[in-house]
Amino acid sequence: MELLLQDLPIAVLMGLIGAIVFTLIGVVSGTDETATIAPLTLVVILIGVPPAGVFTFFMAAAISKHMTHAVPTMLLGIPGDTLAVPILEDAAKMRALGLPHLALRKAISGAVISAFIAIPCAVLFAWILSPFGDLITSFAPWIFLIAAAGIAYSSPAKLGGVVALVPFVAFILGLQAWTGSFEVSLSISYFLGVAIGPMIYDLVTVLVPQNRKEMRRKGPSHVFLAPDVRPAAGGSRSAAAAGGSAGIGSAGGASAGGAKQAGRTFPNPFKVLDKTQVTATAATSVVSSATFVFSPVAVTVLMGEIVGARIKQGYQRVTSVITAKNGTTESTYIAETLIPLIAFGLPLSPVAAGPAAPLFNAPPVFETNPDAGIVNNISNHLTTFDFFIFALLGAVCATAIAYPFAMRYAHAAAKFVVTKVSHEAIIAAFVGLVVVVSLWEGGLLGLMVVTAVGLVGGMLIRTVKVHAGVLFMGYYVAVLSVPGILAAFGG
Amino acid sequence: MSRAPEGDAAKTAEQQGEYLHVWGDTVRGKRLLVGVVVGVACGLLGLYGGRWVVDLLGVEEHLVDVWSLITGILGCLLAGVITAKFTSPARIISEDADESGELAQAIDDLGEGPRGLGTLEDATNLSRRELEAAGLTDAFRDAESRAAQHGRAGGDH
Repeated sequence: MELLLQDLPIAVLMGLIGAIVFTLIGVVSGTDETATIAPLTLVVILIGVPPAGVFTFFMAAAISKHMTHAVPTMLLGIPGDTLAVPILEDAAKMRALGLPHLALRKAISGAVISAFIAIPCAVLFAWILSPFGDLITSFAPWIFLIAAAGIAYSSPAKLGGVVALVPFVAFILGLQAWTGSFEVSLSISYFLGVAIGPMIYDLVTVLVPQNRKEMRRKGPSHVFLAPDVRPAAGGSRSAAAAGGSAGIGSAGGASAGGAKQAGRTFPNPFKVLDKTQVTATAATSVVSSATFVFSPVAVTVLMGEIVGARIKQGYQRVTSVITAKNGTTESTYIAETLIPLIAFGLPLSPVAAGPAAPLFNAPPVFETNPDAGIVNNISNHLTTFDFFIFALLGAVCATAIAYPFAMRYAHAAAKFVVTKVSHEAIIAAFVGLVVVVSLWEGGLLGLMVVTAVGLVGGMLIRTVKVHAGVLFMGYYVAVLSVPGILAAFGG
Repeated sequence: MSRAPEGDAAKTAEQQGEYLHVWGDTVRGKRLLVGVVVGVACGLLGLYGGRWVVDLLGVEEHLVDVWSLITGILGCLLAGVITAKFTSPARIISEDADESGELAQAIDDLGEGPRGLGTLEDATNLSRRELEAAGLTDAFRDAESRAAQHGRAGGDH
């Protein structure tokens, strides 16, 4: 307890920083979680922030991002990140009704409720599983292998994803052997390569004349940015001043002109959602907290299907599905981070293997290689109670920053991004990130590895339809399962 | 509101088929190339220039590496800002809520699938209030009638 209190100030500070930074990043469409959260978490670890601060930063970052990722997804129809993709179709339905702002407010409110339900649930599930931690650790090589195959099969690629894992694992093993011959060991470059693979693949593809013809378009893309409409008492719709918006619940008594100013009180998610939506969000948060080894994308789709199948009226159905799905994006990330950390100390989930990877591997601070008997990661520095408290703190920071921001300034932020930030600028920043992180980690070898993994990973994502989580697990199969299994068979 | 990027320049680009669909959005080839070069240059400057500056400032040796990563990432952000300054978005943004003809279809689409559209009585009070405030109640009633005629109202039917 004394240690917890001692770490509290730095945890609060890092939680606020994580929430502010990722509230803003979330608004920018296409900013993949692993490509943004992982490198910045790595920086936080390497500058010497204590584990409590690192963990609170990560939780606040992930929870904030999965609130504001709804802004481009709902208002522009462009996914904010990977986990926003399953919500796109429902968002399009609300945009067609001219009500994307309502969809946005419900999605974010669902995320808030889900975060606070998922944290105790995940800790409880981890506590139940933790007695089996040593047993599970001893079977880790096999578990990674089975989990990778299961995740690959649950991806849209189905059996093709399982088959594609084999050459991908061999490819990783080859690259590791090659860099090993120069005594260079890499990890972050692989994660970054997978996360940013589709961009690298597209940039290489566009260099091929024949492909360039197919990628050519007659004109710029058309983006429908719905006006910031709020309900007016007279039953008509009226556009509000950009930048100000209050939740439907808090705006329930909007003036006849409909031009009610932005709410000055903190928005209340229980007024934005009805009982059906709150119940659906709570139930899916609990269930999805337990399915921690599966792909968050697949779980999000599944939870949406379950909720949608139980609601009779079309509008009620689509708003409830959006709420539950966005809530699931929070609960899966929270559970897939907390359960592997508390119960096993190993990255046994797609999130732990991807965006949360620096919490397990950030040389020289953290290193996880059970095959070599090395397990020194953030799980060695925090107790279960610490994880619970700092995860809650992260959720509080995210809710305090991202929730009111997205509820009030979502439209203005989306408008700024879509009118001022070109896609060329976003690509320029990410190309720079790839170069910086890979050169920093492994010099020219790192750059070659990130390019190769990005190109191959991007091809598998685009053509075989596996998602990045499958490839993250493929990486762990290469570095943990294959050596462990070979050793077991005396290879 | 409809806003085309750079007016006549956009038209010329359109005639020339200059736009490319890369990583989920449209870009212009030459500007993408410049953006990539700026990204690499700023990243390298941030990483190695930052390392040099941090070294000069006499920061402890084991922290020089970490600070160079931070300056490198700042370089990437700078690349984004610079590129955004000289490239306007290749997007046509529309804020027109002219949904005539499309609204009815959008409501009918909600009724696709085994549960159908249902009736407003199946929705909660809050949902009904939201639709009322948005002026969509009558449109939903019309859609319910259409669905009933086609025998796909769903819900309890």
